[in-house]
Amino acid sequence: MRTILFDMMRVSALSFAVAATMAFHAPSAQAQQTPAITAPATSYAISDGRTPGGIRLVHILLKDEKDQSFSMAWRDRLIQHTPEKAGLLQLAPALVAAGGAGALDAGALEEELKDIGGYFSLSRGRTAAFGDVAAPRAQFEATLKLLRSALTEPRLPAITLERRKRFLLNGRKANREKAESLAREAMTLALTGDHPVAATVSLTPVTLVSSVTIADVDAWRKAILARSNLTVVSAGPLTREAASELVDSTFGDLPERDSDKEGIAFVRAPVLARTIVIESPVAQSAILAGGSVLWGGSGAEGVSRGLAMSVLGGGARSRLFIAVREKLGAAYGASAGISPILGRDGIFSMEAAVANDKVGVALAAMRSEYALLRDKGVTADEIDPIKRRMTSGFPESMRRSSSASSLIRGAIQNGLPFDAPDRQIGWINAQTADGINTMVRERLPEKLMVIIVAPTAEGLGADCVIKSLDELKTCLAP
Amino acid sequence: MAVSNERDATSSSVATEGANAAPDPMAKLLAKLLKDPQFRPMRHKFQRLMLMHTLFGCFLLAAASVTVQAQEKLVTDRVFYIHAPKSTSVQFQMIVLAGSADETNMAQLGIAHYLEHVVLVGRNEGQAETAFKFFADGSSNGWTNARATGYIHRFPANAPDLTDRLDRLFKFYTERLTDFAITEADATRERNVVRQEHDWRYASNPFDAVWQEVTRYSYAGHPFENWTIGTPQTIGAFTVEEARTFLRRWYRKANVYFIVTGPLAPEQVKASAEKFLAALDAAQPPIRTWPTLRLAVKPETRVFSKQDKRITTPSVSLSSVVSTFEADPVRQAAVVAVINGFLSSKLSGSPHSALVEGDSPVAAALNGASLWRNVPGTLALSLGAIPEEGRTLDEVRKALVAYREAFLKRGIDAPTLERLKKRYARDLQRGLEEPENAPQRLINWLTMPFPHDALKEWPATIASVRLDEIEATLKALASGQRDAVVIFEPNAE
Repeated sequence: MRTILFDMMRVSALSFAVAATMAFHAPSAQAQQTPAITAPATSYAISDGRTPGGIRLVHILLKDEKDQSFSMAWRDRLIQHTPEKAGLLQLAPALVAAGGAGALDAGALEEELKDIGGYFSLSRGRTAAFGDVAAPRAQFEATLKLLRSALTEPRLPAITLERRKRFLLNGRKANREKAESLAREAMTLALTGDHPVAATVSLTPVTLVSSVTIADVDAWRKAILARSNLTVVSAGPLTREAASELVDSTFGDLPERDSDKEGIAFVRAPVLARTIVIESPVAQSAILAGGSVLWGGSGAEGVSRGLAMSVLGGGARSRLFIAVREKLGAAYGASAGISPILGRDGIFSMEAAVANDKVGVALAAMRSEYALLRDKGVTADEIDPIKRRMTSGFPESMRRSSSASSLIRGAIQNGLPFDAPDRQIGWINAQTADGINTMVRERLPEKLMVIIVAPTAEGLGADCVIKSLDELKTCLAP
Repeated sequence: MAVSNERDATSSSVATEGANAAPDPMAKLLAKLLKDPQFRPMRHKFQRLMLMHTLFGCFLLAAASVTVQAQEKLVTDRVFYIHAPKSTSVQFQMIVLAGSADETNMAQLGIAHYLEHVVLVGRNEGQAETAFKFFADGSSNGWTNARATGYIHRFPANAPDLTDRLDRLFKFYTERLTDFAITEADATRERNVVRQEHDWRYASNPFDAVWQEVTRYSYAGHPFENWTIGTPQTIGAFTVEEARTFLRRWYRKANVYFIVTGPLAPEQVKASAEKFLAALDAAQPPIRTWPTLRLAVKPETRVFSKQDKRITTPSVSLSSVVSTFEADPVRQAAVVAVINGFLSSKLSGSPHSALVEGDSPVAAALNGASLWRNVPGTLALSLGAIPEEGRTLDEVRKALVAYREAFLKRGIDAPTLERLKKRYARDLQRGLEEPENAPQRLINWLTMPFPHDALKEWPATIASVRLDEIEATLKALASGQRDAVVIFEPNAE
């Protein structure tokens, strides 16, 4: 039941700052002032400003926390205009972080971190490269030294790159053998079209991955992991002054970055109201019904989105769960959500893994619930308990250093002010059923594209039947 | 309503869920890899490893100077209260000390798990809503493994009717410690849901059917030989009466624990619990047979292999089960925990250092390396690897066997043991600073089953683990193994 467990903290966190795909905003004019400005009437005492070394630092003091955390974002829109780098961007961050650094090989670095109880990682999003570092307060400086070493003198072992390339390509292939992940990939590819972000999903052709070299990784490191495009969010017991000092000593020697090229704007195409069946001998069928939407995941808009999706498919009380599992017994669970593409653009989807002989009735039930949502909307009785869950859960997600720094980083990236956490409860409380229903009608697609992965298309009313993802384009012709 | 088989690749065990060990970059990387279905075998081992880390990780290898300040307080018979002053939610759990290994004739058909579903979705007289949807602003769930069954409810701590909610929960479970009601239609529907859970978790991947066979071979003759959820055949034959028989046998006040965690007053919990539990029959459950059942292990080796289009990365695993003499189960668990700390590391002499690193590695990645004490008096060692480019599966298999033999002879040196102890003493301390960790630690301990009194001695037990005890355990592992060699390969095409 884990998968359908409705996690109150997660809902709050997600609606506060959904994934890292929103446009990364450069520090505001206010943010560039020194000394730092502090949010008025804040409950979290968040401040924003530049370190003496000129790096943007957003700071939150969590006095009672034992652990200190930094969450970093290096603005980088490479993936939005250069699809041929999709493989590199999946490989490079982890190789820099975990390939060993300076005198330490990968294993020694990992064991050193275990000894001091520290942790760091690098990853990539569609608008930035991310970093996270955390440790008990007493070991934070030591952990930062190891991070600095990884950023400035990574070992980048060739054998590790080759292994990761192999695992990445094998994983991509394996995902296409599983009904749910195959359906998700098909939906994403159908809705992202020719935009460069589609390459991050398909990793096609395989040369996007296989051609990546150590030189490419190192060039990426030097170009992207710079100081001028860096924002650091600090959360924990460190004062702003102490955090500033550590930010400068850790990142101050990083190079300046050339200006970041604008990404290619995402153009939403009208949703093709088609039912596409991918025939595959699966033990259980996957149904995915959805379309592209413009409904951002942050701020008040994000809260309304979170509430609408929760009512439709966010747990045991959700409409989809009741319709597909409780009434039909056709699935273990059913869910709804919006996954990000770029900025406020995303993919709305309802999803269920269902018994092969119940695909038709399950799909009809999902369609019916969707039509009801668009027609009648949500009710106050449905959203009020979820709002209570959100208001109760949000402070929990701001209590621990790693969670708080990550949340604030996400908020800033999504274009919210640095003191967004202080406004979150207000955004939740301001939501009404009428307001959400207006959004539902305006934002959710009228028609649905349906992707089904099932042993046979017979009886499913398919508009297009294919055997593999390679044939998908044949189903998308106007 | 998750199942958590002791050797289940997708077990989503509660222990794993509750893990709060200090993260490290490679673990995070591995976790990412493990989301990939391609790495199901790795996930299998990894989750086992994480289970051990959870059970013993935050609470492991503590230096003798560390004292466990028990965060749980027994406020009344069978009811623990854990004060979590900073938490904004209340968590209520009922743990039944009976799981699939306790089914009639130790058959492990899946009845214990089915009962968990039925309890959560059934409606007794006067009950408007199912337990699964108890609080509109909260969440509810359940889990079952071979040893235990758990129910969990969460809701905001600032709920104005908090006392009433506690009363409702205690009342509901008090009634379930006697009987339950469910309509035939709901029971049939839920049987279908369990079947879908089975297909979603296990039947949809090429690995789990093989691991089920391996488990049957490794634990032949013991109730742990079958997985908790059952098979499509046994699931299709579930009856409400079987579930009711299980409930009447095991769902008794003397065989359950309640754990309430949150920013509450202990008196609040005590008053609510006593109001409902006091009247319950105090009769003991039957004596469980499996904890005293010894696995008869004869030295043998069997190869399990699967070629499948859905497999894209080849792998080999070596799984060994041995019978051991256990004078002190808690102490044995401590020794196992120390060894696991080493196996999961990249320290010199570890499986990773020997097989993946170096100038001519045989493996591109490990596919799990762990030791566990699953069945009392039994130890299981598992080592797995993905071949390096250009290496054959047979080469990897031989390297795994050679590493195992060398490790069982060599053991762990004294400086490494001290390093592990220091590391884990710190993790223990950090774990103890978070009251939210306490319920899981308690559940893991009680469901082993270990006596609660021994929990506070655990750090001292770990700190006192000696090299000669480690050597003795490894020596036991070197004799009389029932080996399974498990090979996954992509289709020849």
